[in-house]
Amino acid sequence: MAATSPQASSSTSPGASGASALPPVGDADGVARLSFAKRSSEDDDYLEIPPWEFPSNDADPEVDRTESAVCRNVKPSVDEVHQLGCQIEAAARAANRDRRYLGCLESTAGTIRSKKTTKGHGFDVRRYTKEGDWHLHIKVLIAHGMAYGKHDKSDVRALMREAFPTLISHSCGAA
Amino acid sequence: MMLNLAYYDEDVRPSSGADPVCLYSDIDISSGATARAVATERLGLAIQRLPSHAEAQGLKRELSQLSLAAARAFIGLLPTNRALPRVGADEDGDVFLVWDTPTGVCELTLAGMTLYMVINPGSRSTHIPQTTFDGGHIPPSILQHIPRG
Repeated sequence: MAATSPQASSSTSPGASGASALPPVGDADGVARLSFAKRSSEDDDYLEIPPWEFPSNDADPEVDRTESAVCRNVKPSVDEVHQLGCQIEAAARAANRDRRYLGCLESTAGTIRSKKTTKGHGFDVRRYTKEGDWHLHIKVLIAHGMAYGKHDKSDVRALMREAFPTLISHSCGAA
Repeated sequence: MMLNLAYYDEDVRPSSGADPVCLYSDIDISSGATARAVATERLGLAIQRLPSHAEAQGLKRELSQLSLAAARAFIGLLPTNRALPRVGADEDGDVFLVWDTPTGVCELTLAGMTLYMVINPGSRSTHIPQTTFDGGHIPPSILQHIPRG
C-alpha cells in the first residue's frame, strides 16, 4: 500500500445524491459493473474492453472521476443485473446507437477500496441514486499532492481489471 | 530488410537493453510473414473502427484523429519480433495499446504524438517518462519494453 493516503477514504462512505434512506456501502457489499461493446464483433480480438475511464467533470465534483456500478444488495440476483444491462441496450437501440450488453463484472466494495495505484491514488464506492437505489459510483480518490495523468490512468484501468476479473456473460437473444 | 537505425537521436545505452541492434537483431523474416501481415492489417482495422467501439462503450469524448493516426503509424513501425497489442480508447479521446503477456503487462497511451508507457500497470508499476513519437521510428526507450512475440 502506498504511503500517501487518498482523500476521504472510508470503508463506509456516506451516500451521495438522495441516498439518505439507504445504508452506506459496506466493504462486504457486492458491486457489479455492466459491460458494453459494439454489436458487431469483428476485430474484437484486438479491442480492449471495457475501459474504465473515470472521466473528469470539473462542473460537478460529485460525478468527477466516477464510473457507475450496481449495488448487489439492491439487485441480489444476477438476472436482475442483466435486466438492467438489457434495458440500457434497448434504450441505446431505440436511440439508434450501436451498443450491445455483454454481461456484468463482479467485485465487492472492500476489494475496490483496497486498491491503490503506484502513486497512491485510491478508490471509493458510494451511493448515487439518481437512476435508482441500485446505482453506485466508483470514484477515484486523488492522493494528496499528487498529479493525476496518463500514467495514473493506466494504473487505474489495471486495478479495476484486477478488482473485476471475470465477466458473467449474458445473451438474451434480443440481438 | 533494411532497417535504418541512423536516425535514432536518443541517448541509447546498450546496458539498458535499448541497444538498437539488440532491439531488432532477432527478427526472423523467413517465417510467418503472411500471418503477421494479416494480423497487423486486422489490428489496423480495429484502430479504424475504434471510434464507433468507443461510442458503444459509452465514452463521451470524440477520439482524437491525431492519436488514431499516431496509433496506426506506431503499429506500422512495430518490428515483427514484437507482439501485437490490443487497442482501446481513453476518456480523453486518446488511444492506448496493451500488451498482456504471461510475463507481464505493458500499456502505451498515445496522446497525439506523445507517448506514455507504463510497465505492469497497477500498484507497483513503472512509469516510463513521456516521450515524443515522430511518426518515423519507435523511440528505443519505448521499444525496449514492448514484449517480443
